[in-house]
Amino acid sequence: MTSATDVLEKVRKADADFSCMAQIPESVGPTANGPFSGTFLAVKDNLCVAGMPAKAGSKILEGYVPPFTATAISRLEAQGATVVGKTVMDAFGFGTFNVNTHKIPKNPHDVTRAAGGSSGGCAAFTAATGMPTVAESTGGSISAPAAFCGVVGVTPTYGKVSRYGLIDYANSLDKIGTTAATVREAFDLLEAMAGSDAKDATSLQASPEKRMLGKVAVVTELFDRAEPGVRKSTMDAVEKLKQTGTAVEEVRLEHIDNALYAYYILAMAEASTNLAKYVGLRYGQQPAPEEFETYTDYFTRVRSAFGPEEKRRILLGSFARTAGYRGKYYDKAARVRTLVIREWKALLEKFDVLLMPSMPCVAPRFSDIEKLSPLEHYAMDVCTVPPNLAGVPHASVPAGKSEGMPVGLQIVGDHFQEGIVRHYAQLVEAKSK
Amino acid sequence: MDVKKEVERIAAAQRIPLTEEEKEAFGRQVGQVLAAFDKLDQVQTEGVPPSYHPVDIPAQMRADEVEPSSAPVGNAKRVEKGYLRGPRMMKTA
Repeated sequence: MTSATDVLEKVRKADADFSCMAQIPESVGPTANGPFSGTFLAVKDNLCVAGMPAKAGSKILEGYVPPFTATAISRLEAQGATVVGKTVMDAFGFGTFNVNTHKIPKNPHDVTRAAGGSSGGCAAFTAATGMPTVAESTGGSISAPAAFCGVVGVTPTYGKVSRYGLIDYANSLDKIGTTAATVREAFDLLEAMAGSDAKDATSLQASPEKRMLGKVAVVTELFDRAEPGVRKSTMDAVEKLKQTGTAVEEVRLEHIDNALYAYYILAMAEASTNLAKYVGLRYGQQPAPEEFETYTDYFTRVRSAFGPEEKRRILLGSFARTAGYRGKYYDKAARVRTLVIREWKALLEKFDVLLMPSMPCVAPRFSDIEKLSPLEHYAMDVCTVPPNLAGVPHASVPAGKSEGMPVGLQIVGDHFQEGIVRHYAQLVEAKSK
Repeated sequence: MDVKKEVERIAAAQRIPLTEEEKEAFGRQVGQVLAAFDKLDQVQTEGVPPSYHPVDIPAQMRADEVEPSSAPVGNAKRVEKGYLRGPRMMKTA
């Protein structure tokens, strides 16, 4: 059995090579005996672990040391798992490439390229060490980096895992999931932390599993929008799936772009309210109040610690819910969300899962990301946002390479049908080897 | 709508300091993003209810009892008699 000292050395090496860690403890204590004894894992830095600093990628939380542990993590620890550090991320989860923060992870397959965001540290950590992580997705923050780094990433149904102890981005969208080297490990860890929790009123018990139909569908437009190399790799994976006897049909979605706009309106609106609490009274940066003439001076000084993307999302989110614009943006987006949920649920009545590339491209070079406008940046989430907005479970599974970089196939199932997603993810994984 | 002015108004309300350069850049970028969001105007949503969550969340009730917790002030640097000590609300004369 690997010793904790050896594991921590491996973690430090991964951080030195790929800048993937926000925090590495000096040592780790003995763990409980359980099914995950001997499992070492890292945790995204927006999940609280008592006594371990948590910044969620933002300077405004500098100095914050949570006095409690997130339910998802305490459940894993109670079953024997050991936390060996916190992984870097886009500030508060605001990003697709993990460049919106002060410590930017590098892709282990090519350090000139992004690891993906916002759980970029998680995916880079798993790719570098083979060890799993507890990650989090709001609009694609597990699928995107998992695809870019060539690991498995699982995002559960909204509500399957308690959000207690999560530093939130958008409460109606945040979901705690996993990255791992294998489908089995990613789903085993997810199930071990799932289930309702009195500390999170939106956490739910799973619904009964549906009977499988043996029929899946590809979302044609999302394959069409992908780069040729990504399209070829993911279609090859679909062809291999056919060889297992799975029937594959094609479907089209009406609300792909509408889902993208609705998502960003809702996510930013919720983010702008969540970030209102960072005023230097309870967390992170807390300068001496005596040095300021008024509370406005004090709050303004504290909030100057927000980075550009945090400021942009606060501005856009506040605008979307401000008097005079709320109906046009926020309320409209909430109604469009209903149409998106209905569209996905209707298709998932007819098919076991829907398939699409996880991302329309391979991990971009940092030099290319710099050229993207915020709108172009947001548009990269076209494959991951719709299932996240609908709150349906999905997995990104490695499906070959393009330009020498990993490609992910995204497998999306109906609410609480993680078992069916797992089944197809294992078929794709087996056929990709 | 003058987007740059709106950006300045919201930034002031949210206590976010912006440099002149940021005001220009955010004004331009927010304008581009809002123009994209405006495409939702074409989606027919009459009679469609809003979804504030992707799944039904049943109301969960618990006893209205105070439970011990260190979380609310656990990281505050300035706590007096269980209250947070903040900055002045107005300038002193």
